[in-house]
Amino acid sequence: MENYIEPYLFQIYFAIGLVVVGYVFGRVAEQRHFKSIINREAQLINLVTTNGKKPLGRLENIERCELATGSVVISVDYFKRFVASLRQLFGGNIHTYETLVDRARREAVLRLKEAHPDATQLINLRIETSSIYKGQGNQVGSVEVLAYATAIYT
Amino acid sequence: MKYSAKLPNENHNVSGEHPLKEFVILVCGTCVLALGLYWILGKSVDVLVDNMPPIAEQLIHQQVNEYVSDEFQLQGEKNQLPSNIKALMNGLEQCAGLDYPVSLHWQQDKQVNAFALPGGHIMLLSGLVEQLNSENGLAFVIAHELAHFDNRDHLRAMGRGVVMVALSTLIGLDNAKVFDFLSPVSQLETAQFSQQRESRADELALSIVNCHYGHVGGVTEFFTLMQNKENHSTSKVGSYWSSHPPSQIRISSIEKLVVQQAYEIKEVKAL
Repeated sequence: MENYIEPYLFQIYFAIGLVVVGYVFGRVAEQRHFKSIINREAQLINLVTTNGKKPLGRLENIERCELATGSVVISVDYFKRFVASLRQLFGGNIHTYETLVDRARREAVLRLKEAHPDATQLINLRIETSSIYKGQGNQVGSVEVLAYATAIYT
Repeated sequence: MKYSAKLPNENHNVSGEHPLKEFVILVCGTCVLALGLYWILGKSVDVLVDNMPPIAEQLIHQQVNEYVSDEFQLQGEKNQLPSNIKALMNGLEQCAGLDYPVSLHWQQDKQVNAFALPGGHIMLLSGLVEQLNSENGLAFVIAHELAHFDNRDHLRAMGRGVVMVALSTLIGLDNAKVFDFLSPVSQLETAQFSQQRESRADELALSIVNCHYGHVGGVTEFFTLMQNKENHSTSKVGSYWSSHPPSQIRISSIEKLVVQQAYEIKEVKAL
């Protein structure tokens, strides 16, 4: 007498296990990260950063300019990936990925600023996003964000 | 007024919705969708199979016959069958009145089981014949498999298999863990479907055995055997998920049918 569900039990436990682990660890990591981002953003708030090509105001005696970069790679957890793959069916906003991209973007800019804390201004800020593991469906992907700008010292 | 830098109070780039809410809604939605689609397509398979002309059935049989013969190495095994079982098979086949020939095969295996393969093959495992005491008990098992062919249950099973594969490919979720997660949900429907078909096959098998022997004595022997095994089984999953109804239920429904149809019960023939 065959039983239909028994051969699948291991698969089900495994899938549920991955999603639960992904949720718990992903959520803890995310909350910690957001906390740290908010703190550091407040510390660096007075470092003028713009995406304009020219400095704000009139800067005299510019000492030097430097290329400033900050990049970060954050992995997707199984929970986020699972929810996103269900989203493929119905369409709509993937809320679970929104926090991921937001964290990556802010962290990249923060790293850029932290590398040049003494700059007078950071101008021409650009942000690029790419995903690692793209095209390899069975891998858990990760998002890379690169922020780059020109640091001006007076 | 002096400019002072300030961070926004709220993060507008992230929705404040709890991730579990989205998760629950999506999982429920997908389950409903998968079950619904599978149910509709399963019913369409039933309609198709019920209205299929015999010629189409024979064509399908010819197509799968080669594959099944290769897969299970069925060639050249017929002669190994004991002559009394061969004679029994002939008698039962006449009573079943199928449009195509069914061949009986014999395999050395300790398991107590028999199954029907597409293409008109019935496989008897030697363990079954060793454990059964009466020819009537064996006759019912063979008649049950013949009844599956008569009800075209193998075609239904094949059709549902095709639906499953087609659905999983269409949705394109097979690379994610989603499909693994969902497939048992559809199996639930399959299990219940299959239990119904088994009960119907039992009903038809009874009439085949009655036609052959003129009575239905000893037909429940196989289930009594299975019942003893079930009592010792360690399966943690309920019978709801099983492809066959529990033996106790099958025995009582067969007994009910015997009374309903006023079948006689006489002395059984030793195997």
